[in-house]
Amino acid sequence: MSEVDTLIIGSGVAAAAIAKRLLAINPAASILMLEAGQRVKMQDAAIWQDYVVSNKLPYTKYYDRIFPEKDVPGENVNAGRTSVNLDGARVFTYGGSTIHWGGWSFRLKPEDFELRKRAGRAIDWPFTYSQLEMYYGQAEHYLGVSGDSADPTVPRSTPFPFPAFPYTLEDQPVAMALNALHLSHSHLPIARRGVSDQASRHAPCQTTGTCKYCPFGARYSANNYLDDMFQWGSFPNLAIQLGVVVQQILMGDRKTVAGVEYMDSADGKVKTVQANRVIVAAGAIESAKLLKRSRSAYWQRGIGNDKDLVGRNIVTHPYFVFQGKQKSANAERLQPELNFPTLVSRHFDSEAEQREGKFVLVNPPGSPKVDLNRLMRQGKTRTEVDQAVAAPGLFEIHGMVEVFSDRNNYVDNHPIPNFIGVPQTVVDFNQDAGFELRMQGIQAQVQKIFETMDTQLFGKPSISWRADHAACTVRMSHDPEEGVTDPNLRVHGVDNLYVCSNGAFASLGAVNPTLTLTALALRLGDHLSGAKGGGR
Amino acid sequence: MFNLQPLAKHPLSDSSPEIDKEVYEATWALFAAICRYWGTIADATPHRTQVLNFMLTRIKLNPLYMGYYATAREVLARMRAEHGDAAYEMLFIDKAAASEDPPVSPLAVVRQRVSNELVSLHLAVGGFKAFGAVNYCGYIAGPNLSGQEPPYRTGTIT
Amino acid sequence: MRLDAQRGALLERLQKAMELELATIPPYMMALMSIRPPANRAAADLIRSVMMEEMLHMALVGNLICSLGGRTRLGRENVPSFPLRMTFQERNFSDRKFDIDLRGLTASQLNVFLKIELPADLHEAFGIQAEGLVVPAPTIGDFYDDLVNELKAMAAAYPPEEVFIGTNAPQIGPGYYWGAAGEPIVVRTLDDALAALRVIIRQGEGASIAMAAGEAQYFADPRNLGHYFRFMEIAKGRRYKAEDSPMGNPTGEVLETDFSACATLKANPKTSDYAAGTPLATLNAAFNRHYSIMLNQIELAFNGNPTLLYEAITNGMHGLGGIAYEMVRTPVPDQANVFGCPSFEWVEQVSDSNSP
Repeated sequence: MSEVDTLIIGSGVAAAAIAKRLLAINPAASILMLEAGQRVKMQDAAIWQDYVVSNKLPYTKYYDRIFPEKDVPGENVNAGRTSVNLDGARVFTYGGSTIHWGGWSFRLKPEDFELRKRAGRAIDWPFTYSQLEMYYGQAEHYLGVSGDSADPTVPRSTPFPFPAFPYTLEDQPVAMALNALHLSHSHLPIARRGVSDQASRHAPCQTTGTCKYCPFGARYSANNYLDDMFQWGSFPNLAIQLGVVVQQILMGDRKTVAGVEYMDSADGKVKTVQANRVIVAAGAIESAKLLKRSRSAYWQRGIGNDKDLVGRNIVTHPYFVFQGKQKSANAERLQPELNFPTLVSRHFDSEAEQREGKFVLVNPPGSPKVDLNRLMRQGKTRTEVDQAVAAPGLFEIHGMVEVFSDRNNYVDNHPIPNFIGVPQTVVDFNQDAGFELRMQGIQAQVQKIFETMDTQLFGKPSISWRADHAACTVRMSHDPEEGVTDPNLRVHGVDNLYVCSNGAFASLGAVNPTLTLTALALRLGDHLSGAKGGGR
Repeated sequence: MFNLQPLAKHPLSDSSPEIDKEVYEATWALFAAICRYWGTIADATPHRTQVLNFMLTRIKLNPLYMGYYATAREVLARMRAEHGDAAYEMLFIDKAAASEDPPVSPLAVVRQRVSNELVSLHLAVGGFKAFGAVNYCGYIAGPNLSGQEPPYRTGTIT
Repeated sequence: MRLDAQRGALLERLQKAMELELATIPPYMMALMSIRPPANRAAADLIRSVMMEEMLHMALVGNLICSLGGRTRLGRENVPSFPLRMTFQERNFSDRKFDIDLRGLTASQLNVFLKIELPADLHEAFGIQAEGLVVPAPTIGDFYDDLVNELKAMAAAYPPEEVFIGTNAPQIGPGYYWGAAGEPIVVRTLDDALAALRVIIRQGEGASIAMAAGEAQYFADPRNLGHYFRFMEIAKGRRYKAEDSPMGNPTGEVLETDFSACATLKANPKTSDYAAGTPLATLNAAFNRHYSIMLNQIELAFNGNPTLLYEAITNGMHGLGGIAYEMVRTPVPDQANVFGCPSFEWVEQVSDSNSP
């Protein structure tokens, strides 16, 4: 048992950003991170070559297992009618899920913070966009986001650290169609470092196209930044333990966290550590589960859970893929040249669409589908490959749509531990009755875009409810009756417990949560240090 | 620049046995044949060290590749003795060798573990350009520098 | 002198410049590797930045050679071996009459770094005299001056298209370099060539205080500190302030270097120093293989195949760093408190015979 000032549970982007901010203000700050997972070797030439040649990644073994099937024992339980897959949604590892993320770094829009006021849905955030805005700018710098600083989609007071990547040739058909239909589009803000006159140990993106295992470390991945902090940071009181599964948070009294109890997989023993304050930064699902299973006389339903809200109201983004076939030949031989998207339309991510469910449309980098590697491995001749490239293209348009919290949708603990020792997850999610209709509306829009591209929409869209963007499980609120955390991410009713996670979001909007999470983390760091500008 | 990861490293993980010169040359010849057969890379010689590096990294990750490359040399030597350069085309198009799962017969091992991987490598080091693109997933085209051509094709809408 | 003969002489000089740049990298790298984090971070950052810039210099020289229609050579005869005595046309440089060891960072090794990077006209000030020879031996500064003058003379005598005959070959452009100041310059004209040489001279060994004299605040931008002055910051334990004089000591923020916290490495190692079958022998062999392959790829990259430089960087540098990291943490058997050091020896690779 030892005394630590700040205990952080988890080691992902939230943990890394909080630690970075606390240490910037006080390099001697006492911070201990507890991470359930292990470390993955990054920027290794042999692993990278394996990825290029066989598409294998070294961290997929740290994914959740699939749900149980007839012949597969699997893990976790999907209790609802909608399949909210966990396998592939997150990574139990040092540095967390940014090890595999795509880096899409959107800001929410001002109206997203007022979902209830404007659209009668869920609840409002307990602060406004403009109150978070400066942290969005800092988050863009921390993550190394390349974007268009003149893009009016959201108000901004600081430019992106790096300029936007120009649209590709493969973006042109979609961009032209959007223009013809008077649908706005913009450069997708992407966490890929660019070139500036600041020398940095972190390399700029070399458009290698193997983003999931970037050989240069140009796509933000928290483990690389943690390595930097541990290696060269001169932070004498910063420490991390890996292979540590926190079983519960221990209370000293009802209002005060004393520390945590954890299982150390190094020796299988259960240990405790005391801390002055605890920050749970373990992702939306695990953070909620941890609070819920931390039961004591003071909190019989789990910490912060007197109102039975912990784990409830979970939302994620249904991610949809529409396919279409070009009517004419692929005369320009369009084929995938990048591994990240450059073009997005947030036209329908607007106030007008908020009630029905805002959505974004993205031109995916793999469109149109041309797979030279597969064709040659199949033994196709040069002529046959040329013909395949020139054939009418198979285009895709991807996107995400906002869905709204329903307290009947929840995550909870399962008694059996998973492959890493963390209790398995029960997820019970039923999509809203109005969702089908919403998708039909989206399809109608996409159909118009395809038609304008001289492309025939075919089939129904594939829709994945995979839990990558799980959020709102311990949502923020002014009123403890409505949420679990307060405007400073502090758990209602406890003085020294915080949750820095997508779980704290009041709502998710139509965009990826990581940039917002990073902004919240930096803001929390300021707030805990008593820094100016924090806590509002 | 130095990505130092002590916790994830095995002590002798960077050691790998020497590659026999004949095995290397046979693998190189296969790579060159791929470039010729598909007409993708006119002069393959600047890629000699890349092929060596590739073999070294495959072996490092999975030592069985030493055996795969040795098998490739033997199989190709026999096939070329019998069919000359047509041996390569036979290897590239043999359907049974491509679909054997797992690959056990010598031809299947050579097709799947050696030839197919060299196909991927040759595309990634520049072979893809023959099909009209400027960048490709696996090819290091370079950064996006202001004032310079982007490292991929663009259009009028930028 | 005929153009061909002039070109030949200039290319020989540039090849030597390439070898001078390369020669400094192993000692800088092992000084860096001998540092045990988290101590000595400031010194590590300074040494790393100097080392990165030497790599930039190599690229600049490579582009110069390429632009003139020459070919960079980084084979067995061009690779430094340690202890190193720098020579040109079989004569010692008068300001390089000391051996450069391959070892970890010590106070005396830092002094060697200072001597390597000492700006030309500080020699007198620091009491370094050229030996009284009938034909005085050139200094490094003289060497670069002669290079610039030969280039200008050639460009004055012949039209550009006859001088810069290699301009169709792709060169190393700005995208290949990050992590320290400056950027690669693609050389197509005399102006480009002089700009490239200015970067090398300004940042490094050929630097002259006279150059700095015209500048109001030599130390205004810490990124533009000449290599000598970065090593001085380590030696004197302070940063330079904008107002400091290059002739004097730095008076700015303190930075402490604890040499005792640096590992003692086996100095000037050779393959034969590591007993066969031991971990250090295995690691050293792997290092030398990676090193030789990387040099070959750099050579190919400079000679018109620039994209190979990425592979040299990812495969080579990352691989080398990892192996060196292991070696400097592996004790040398029977030598108390001495750790392994890679020998940086060139080894022939099976892929070498058909190099273009």
